[in-house]
Amino acid sequence: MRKPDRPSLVARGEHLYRRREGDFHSYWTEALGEPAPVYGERITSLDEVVLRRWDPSRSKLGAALANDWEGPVPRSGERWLYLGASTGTTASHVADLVGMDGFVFAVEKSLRPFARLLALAQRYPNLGPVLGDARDPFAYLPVVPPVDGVYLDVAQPDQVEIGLASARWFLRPAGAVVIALKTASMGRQRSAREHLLDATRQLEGAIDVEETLSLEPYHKRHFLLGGRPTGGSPPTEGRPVTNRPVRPSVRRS
Amino acid sequence: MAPAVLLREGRRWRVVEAERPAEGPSESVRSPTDIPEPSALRRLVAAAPTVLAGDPVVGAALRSAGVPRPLAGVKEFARARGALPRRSSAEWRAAILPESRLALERALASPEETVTALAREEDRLERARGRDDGAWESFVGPPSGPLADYTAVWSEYRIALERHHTDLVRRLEGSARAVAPNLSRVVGARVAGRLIAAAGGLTPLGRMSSSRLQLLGSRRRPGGGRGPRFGLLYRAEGLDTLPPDRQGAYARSLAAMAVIAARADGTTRADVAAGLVRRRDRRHLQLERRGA
Repeated sequence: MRKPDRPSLVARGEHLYRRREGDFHSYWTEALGEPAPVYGERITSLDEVVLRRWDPSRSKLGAALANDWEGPVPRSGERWLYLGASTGTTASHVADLVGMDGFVFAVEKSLRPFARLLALAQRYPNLGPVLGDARDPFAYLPVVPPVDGVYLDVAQPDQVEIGLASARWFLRPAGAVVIALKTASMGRQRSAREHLLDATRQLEGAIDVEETLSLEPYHKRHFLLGGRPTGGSPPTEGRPVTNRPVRPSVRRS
Repeated sequence: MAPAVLLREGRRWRVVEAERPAEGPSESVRSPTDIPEPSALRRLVAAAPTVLAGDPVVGAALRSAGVPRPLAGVKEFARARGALPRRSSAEWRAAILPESRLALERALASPEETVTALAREEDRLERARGRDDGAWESFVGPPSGPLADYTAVWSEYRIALERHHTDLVRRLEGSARAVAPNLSRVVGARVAGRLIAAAGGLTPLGRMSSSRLQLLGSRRRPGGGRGPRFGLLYRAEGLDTLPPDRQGAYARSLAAMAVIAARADGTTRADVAAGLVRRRDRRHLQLERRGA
């Protein structure tokens, strides 16, 4: 039994760390809020930086990272639009990732989760909660400037359409789009794979999907799709934020 | 007659005469590419309440761009977009946070949300009291001594809890009657409040089919053997006086009338309860007699 490593930076200048735990990696982000834990996750400190463990079973983006995600990841200094932020479990990690120079606009429709998101934003310097419906981009259009990335996690039957509309209105050239696809919300008449196929077809011609990843075993019948608008300038040069883990996890579908 | 469209303003729907089809994206939109605008969003937009209604910077920028508020169309949005001031993250945060807090407070203060919150609280309290009752029944103590003292204090607490519950139910019923007068008369105010809470508001409740409303809140799932016959409606008046083999039929009819009542409450606010109650009672009588 080898001792777990210390968390190490995934890429220079970013706020993402990872640590080898057995055969897998756990991911950590630099905590910006005080006190650090947001949803009861583990924290640790590393050279005066407080790190929060990204629980893959609580967060779809966290699960994707654990599953060797190679698509776009929020990077330091970027502005992200987060649709369907709920209580801010994942949104807080995204806020950690973009750091003090970046900003996360977190849109949530339900009042009770939003109340908790608002409480979280009180202690997060770069999190802006917006009470609104992801279907109505016009309602909060005046509040949200062009962003470097759109993260969509709304669990609606027409979630891909919502994502396209948001990209259409809010994305900067060469911005990133990440869509968490909950196929169970798209109807149980068809299989998860068929739904994924549909979603991919819908994105065709609008978004160049770089990565499509199943989130099993952390989230059943969920997928994460990441890409950039077709015809936009290529992704920014430099190292990818995530490297391949020690042992590539099994990729399903 | 000019065709009309339904536009949403917060929780309300407003009928507006359609003036012109939505315009395509204009040049000034900072659009990365030609991402097609999805059909669902290509509807006419008007009266979009800006979250930053009171923000001086954004307001001034919009005014200087000649953008009226409320924004009336895609073109205005494009102009508003171009007029957005450059701000740092801290400035955005300072602008967004107070507005978001206000928006939340306003939304939570609405009568429908009051009903929802009260109904949830009442449900929680009822379950807590049920647990306490079970504990009370299974508790065995001597007539005197320290344990008897404890029982006396406990019994006082139980009385206080009951009073609290009664008060909560009264508040819930009053609030439900104000929000949904028709529905409250058809199924009872307390059940009406619970239905609204379970559906997430009066509008979603009114959009439901009656079969969906009938099973709203049921624990059992269709499939396997016999499916559920009712959910929250099992508390409705008159259901328990019927024999079990006719309760399903009554719940079905009651759900059909409840949906009508909910739609009236959510849209026209017309008083339709009298007729529905008459129909309900007739149906109840009919089912009582059947097989007797």
